[in-house]
Amino acid sequence: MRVRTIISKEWDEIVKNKSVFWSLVLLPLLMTVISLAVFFFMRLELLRTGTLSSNGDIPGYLTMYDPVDAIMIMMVNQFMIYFLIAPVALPIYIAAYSVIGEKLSRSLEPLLATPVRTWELLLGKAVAAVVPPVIAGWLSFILFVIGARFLVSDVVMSMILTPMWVLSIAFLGPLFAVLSVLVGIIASSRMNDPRSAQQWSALFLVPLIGVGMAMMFGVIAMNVWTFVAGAAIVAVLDVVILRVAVRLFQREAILTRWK
Amino acid sequence: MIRTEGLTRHFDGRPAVEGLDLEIHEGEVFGFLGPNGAGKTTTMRMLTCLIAPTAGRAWVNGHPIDAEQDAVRASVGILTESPGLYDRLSAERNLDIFARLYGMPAARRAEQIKRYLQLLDLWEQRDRPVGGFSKGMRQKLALVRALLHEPPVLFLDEPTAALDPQAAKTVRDFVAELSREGRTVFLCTHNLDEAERLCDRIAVMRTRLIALDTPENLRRRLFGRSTVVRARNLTPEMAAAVCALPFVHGVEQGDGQLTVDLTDPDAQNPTLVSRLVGLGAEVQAVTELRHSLEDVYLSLMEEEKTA
Repeated sequence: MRVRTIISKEWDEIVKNKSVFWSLVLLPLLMTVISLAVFFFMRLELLRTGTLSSNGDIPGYLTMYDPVDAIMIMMVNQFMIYFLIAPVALPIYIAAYSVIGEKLSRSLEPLLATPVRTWELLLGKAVAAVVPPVIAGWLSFILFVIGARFLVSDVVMSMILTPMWVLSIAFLGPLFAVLSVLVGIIASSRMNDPRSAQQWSALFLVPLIGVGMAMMFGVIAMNVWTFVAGAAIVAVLDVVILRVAVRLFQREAILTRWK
Repeated sequence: MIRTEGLTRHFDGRPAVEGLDLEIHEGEVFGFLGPNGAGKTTTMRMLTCLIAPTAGRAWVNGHPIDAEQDAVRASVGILTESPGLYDRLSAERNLDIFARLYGMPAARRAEQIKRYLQLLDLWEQRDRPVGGFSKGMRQKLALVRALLHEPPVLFLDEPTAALDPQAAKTVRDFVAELSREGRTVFLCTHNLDEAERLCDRIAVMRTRLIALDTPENLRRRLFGRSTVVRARNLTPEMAAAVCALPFVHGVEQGDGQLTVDLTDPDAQNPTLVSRLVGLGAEVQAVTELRHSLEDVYLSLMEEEKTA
């Protein structure tokens, strides 16, 4: 009940804060539009000249494909990385502000004086920060799939809908998003400057981008088992980091030392 | 209702509150006075389980603050120095969030929110975002938030600070009403006039407890009791004659009046007045000299500094 209350309170505040709300909604939509526009112009070029040119050599793992499809698959992989990372990157800034924001508006003390437990507060804030970008990410991916259906070949389409990417975007992304949000909340509860908290939280994206690149270039061979193992590891990490966040949340230090 | 035994809190080895012993009774309005940094807010935070004591024990509404934190939190309402509201949300939504956190069922939430918003003239503003509220409205709303779950103990930190006189009076009247309802009110304030008007007893703090009593007893203890007699044709002989009375501790004459130090003015004033009238004084007024709480406070602070 109290977790639900925290979630709905956070959502209310997000919806009422127009700049935050539109950044969550518009950015994924904009990226979808840009991705589809790239495909659209590639198709236009293909119709006009009968071929597509690439700035560099086609990587070895794509040489088995028709050169035109190979170029489009290269683009697909880049877009997919975005769809994987967007739900992780967007909520970091909300999370990084979550505790500091309460402290700055002086609402933290009355909130902590209620019977709300630390884990309820942090879980509520984490879920509230994760869900909107994840849903926005899913919706933008669905729009991308629908749009791409009209713009790319069946071969390229099959690369968009590989189980590896679909499962990653559907499950792995949100699990990573929870992790990133918890990291943001830890930063938010340990630092008294919102800018520092956001900078430190953003550092978390670096290893994640590395994982995405490794998936893209086949360094991590994704199959059902590696996916399940990866998802399980991230889910366990989510629980562990939540516990760490609860332990690191020093009510006293936040109330008495932050100015 | 509130009891502390040797309650102590240090920050980085420096004492903020030292060996505090208090016993506050049910229905009492208890004033907690002291200069900035005296430990008032720290004490309040310890008693509301926001921070833990370094040493000592305390009970709020019968619950020990170290072992039964949930019970303590459920039985107290707190008004912090700054209202701490969610500016983008409406007044009603602000209250609803806190009512939910206190586990109140939907029907009771709605009923309590309506009741208190109406009581403090905020009902018509319930749908407005509180960011547009005046300071007085925000403070009243924060007070309602502290009361929604009907706590028997209320902690108020500077409830009228920075409010205009009219808003301050509304809040003060409301606090007085709460005490009439039988709630225990722990009032941290710098406003001595407010403390005098509202509080049954006051404690003066400067890291440790300097004094604890009713305002009247503190006044008597520090300044004794004096009667001021205003009369026409007062003479030095009359002052000397009054001074010779066995129950008079001192007399000061000036500006058409005598200030006479007594132990029990209620019993001794008639004798004093008849003596003066007997000597030919035309008595115009007899009043008791009341030192303000500010005099008491400043005197205590001076004593503490000298000590």
